[in-house]
Amino acid sequence: MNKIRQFNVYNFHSRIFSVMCLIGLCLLLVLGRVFYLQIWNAEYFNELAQRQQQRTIKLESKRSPIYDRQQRLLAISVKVDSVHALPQHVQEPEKTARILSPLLQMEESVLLEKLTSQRSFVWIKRQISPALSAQIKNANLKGIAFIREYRRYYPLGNFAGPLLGFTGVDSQGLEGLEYEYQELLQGKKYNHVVAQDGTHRTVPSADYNHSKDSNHYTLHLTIDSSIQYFAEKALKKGLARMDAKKGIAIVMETQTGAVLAMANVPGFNPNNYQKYPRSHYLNYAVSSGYEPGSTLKLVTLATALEENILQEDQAFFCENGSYQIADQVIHDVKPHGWLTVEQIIQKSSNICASKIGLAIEKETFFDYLQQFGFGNKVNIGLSAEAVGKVPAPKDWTEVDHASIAFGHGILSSPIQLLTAVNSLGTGGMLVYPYVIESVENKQGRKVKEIQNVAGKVIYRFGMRESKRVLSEKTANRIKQFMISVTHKGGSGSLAAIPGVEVAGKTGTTEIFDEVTQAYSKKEHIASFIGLVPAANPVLTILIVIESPKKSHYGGTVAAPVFREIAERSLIFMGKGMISRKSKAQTN
Amino acid sequence: MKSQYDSYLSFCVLALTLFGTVMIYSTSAVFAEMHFQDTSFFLKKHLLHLAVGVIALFIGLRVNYHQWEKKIPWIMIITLILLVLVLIPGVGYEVKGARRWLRFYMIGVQPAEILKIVLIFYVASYLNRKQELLTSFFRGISPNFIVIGTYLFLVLLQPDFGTVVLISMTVLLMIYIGGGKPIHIFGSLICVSMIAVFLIASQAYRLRRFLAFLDPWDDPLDSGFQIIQSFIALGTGGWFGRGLSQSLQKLFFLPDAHTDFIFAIIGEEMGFLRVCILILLFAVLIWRGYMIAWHVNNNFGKYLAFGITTSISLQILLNLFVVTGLLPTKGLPLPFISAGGTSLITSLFMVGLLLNISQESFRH
Repeated sequence: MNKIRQFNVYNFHSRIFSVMCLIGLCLLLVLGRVFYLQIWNAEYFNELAQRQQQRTIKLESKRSPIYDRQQRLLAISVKVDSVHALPQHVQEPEKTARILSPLLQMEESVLLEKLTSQRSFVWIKRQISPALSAQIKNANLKGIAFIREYRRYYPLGNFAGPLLGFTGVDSQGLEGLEYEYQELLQGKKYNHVVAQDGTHRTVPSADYNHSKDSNHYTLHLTIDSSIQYFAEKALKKGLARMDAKKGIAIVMETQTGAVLAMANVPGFNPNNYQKYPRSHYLNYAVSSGYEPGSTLKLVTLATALEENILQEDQAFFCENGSYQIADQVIHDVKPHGWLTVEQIIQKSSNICASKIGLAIEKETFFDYLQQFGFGNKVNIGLSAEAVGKVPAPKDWTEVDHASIAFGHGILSSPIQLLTAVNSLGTGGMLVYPYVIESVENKQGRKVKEIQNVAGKVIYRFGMRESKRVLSEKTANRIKQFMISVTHKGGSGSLAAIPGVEVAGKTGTTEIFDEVTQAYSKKEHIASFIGLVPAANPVLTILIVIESPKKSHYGGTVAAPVFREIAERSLIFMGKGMISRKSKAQTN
Repeated sequence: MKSQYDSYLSFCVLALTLFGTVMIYSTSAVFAEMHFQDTSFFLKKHLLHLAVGVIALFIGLRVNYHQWEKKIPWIMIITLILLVLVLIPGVGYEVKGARRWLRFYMIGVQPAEILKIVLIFYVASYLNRKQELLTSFFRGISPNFIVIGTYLFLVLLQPDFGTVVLISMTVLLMIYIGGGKPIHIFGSLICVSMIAVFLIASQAYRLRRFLAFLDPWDDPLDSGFQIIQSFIALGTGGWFGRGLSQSLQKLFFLPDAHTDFIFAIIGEEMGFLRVCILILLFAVLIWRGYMIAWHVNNNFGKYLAFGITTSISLQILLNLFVVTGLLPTKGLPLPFISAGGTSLITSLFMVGLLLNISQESFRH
């Protein structure tokens, strides 16, 4: 017993002390371990944490708007609801389908199929109107949910469609400016880091903000929607009058090259582009090639005059309407005898034009054509620009040489022809057309060029450097001659505007049928190009109308359209000095 | 009257329980919202348990524990019945593959938790009565092992490996403190360890857990998942933590975030410095517990106080070791902090008893 008592007094305390020490050590071990995990190795675990707690999602920034030069909206992105179903949460598929069917105008069976799908997420209808969305929300259907999406909206509807283009349902540009400047308008999709939980759902947190990325730009066009409207309206009217298939009109500021209107009729409404055939999407003003016909005579004569092959007071014999070159016979619309240079333009004689053309060296002629921009893109900054075609001079036969002189056997896009003829209104300077005045970055600064990371300029906007193609004297001479076209007895007298001199040129070509390899006798292209006011041109306008039925001459089909556009535009711009008096005089 | 109770111990328990309540809400709210559409589902449950726990604490505080020594055989028999009942399918309630619960009306009881206290009483009483036999392995220690082994075997059948480890270590330390020869204790420890190794190897999930413990990155998506998630939680806490309720790991990354692995989330939200304070609170609690055992003037009280303190300390240590990856995963809640009804009530009852005993030691 004595031994045990001793044990109790001595051993119990020493043993309890040793147990305390042991447990104390264990606690210190835990503390050390926690230090190791929390502090020492924190970086590693933080990295692991990030890998599982964060998810990088690609966010699309709101697509930038497009404005015209009057700051009117041409395209904008608005937030709309897209309705989708979570089939697992849909409680009464039949009833839900029955309710949704009339609202969304979808077949009940189609809806039912979607609602009972095995997938966890099914789109029902993308981008519905706010009113419709509110109606569906009110129905309070289980398993039907909404996602906010941006939808591209074109406030002016069926207006400048082929120029603007449109975007698909995921806001990607598919045609026109929307396509060409996708990168600028949309910006790059940018990475956004969000927190996610263990079930891979996004954690709603305060710092989930759509920080606006700075790499997208608002487009400011040179287009003036008023002038665009005049052009489209006049063109539609002209097409209806002549029962024509399609037509284009380009209105350009003569001295700068800023395109004020680029109309394609029939065109389409980009808000519901799906309802139109694909052919309506195309911007024929830049993407098509056609034989410019008589309008090219201006270039031929300018070349001859510049090269001193021709004196301005010289007269040519027009062979009374029929002239044999090699195995071909060239005709004039009306037989003419001797004509001055001015009269050749006024009456548009093919025979005299080919005589003058043949007098120019092939190579020289070709060089001039190239200088004027034929066979090369004008780089207006629109997609699918046509190059046109000028055959190499070594391949020219005498007939080819003569034909090119009056605009046949050569392909030009309307914008190319406009650019070339425009140089007659600028005193011989070739001014390049452009449709984008500037772009506005997110800081609200309008910039004229955009550089890539390497500092290389990848986009340039606004007026471009012009180049001299003719002497001022030659350009002004030809322009002077062009005035007679719109005077009484000229081929384009219908283009005359009371009180304003118009320098113009008509064009009429038969459409070359690829199938029969011959010029069609029925299908024509009627065109008119003009500079107004002739003394100091402000506007250069080209009208091209394809397949008119009632008449096929540029002077009767295209000239009236030109007149309407030019007159209204000048009045709108405050440049139309038309008084009732002067109107009365001409009448 | 008041000053008679150990005020340090009371303070620690109060602080830990309050902190635990806050952390349970923080860790369980999102989970509760998802599964029960009520962010405070687990908080409410916990508060209910806490109320019962406080009652248990006062019972522990008021009873004359000396009288209970005589009733030990009866208590042992009742516990045995409960342990057998819980194994019967339909009577015992199964959660995640383990049959640990008995349900009386709406109240769930874990017999293994009760066994923890009962065996502490049993061993304390044995040491008090038969201390002179302890130096002999066969006459003193082995009969104990047979009785205790039987009970632990029943717990293993549930299965509840964690509790078995906890109880066996508590019992061994109690025998050591009661005067058992260190060689016997060590020998027994080795035997128990060998049985443990056999048991680990015999159960596929335990083996997986064990292998995952050795190298959690070997299978990070399956068995090593929980421990890696625990590391990540602690690792992102740093010195000051993310801030209360700011844990990301509790968002369905770390399983059992509000129960067994609550410490990891505490580390994440509170940071290392506050974790130090938490561990300090535990240390003070343990220190006061042993001081009570040190000072109490009767042997039964001494052993009882020692057993209770040891049981609580070991449970704290085992939980912290598991959460910090020092031991393989096993299901033991962190006393006073983790959500878990029976464990909380038992712990508070044990604290009540400790305070009860401290009354006597200070009276002396």
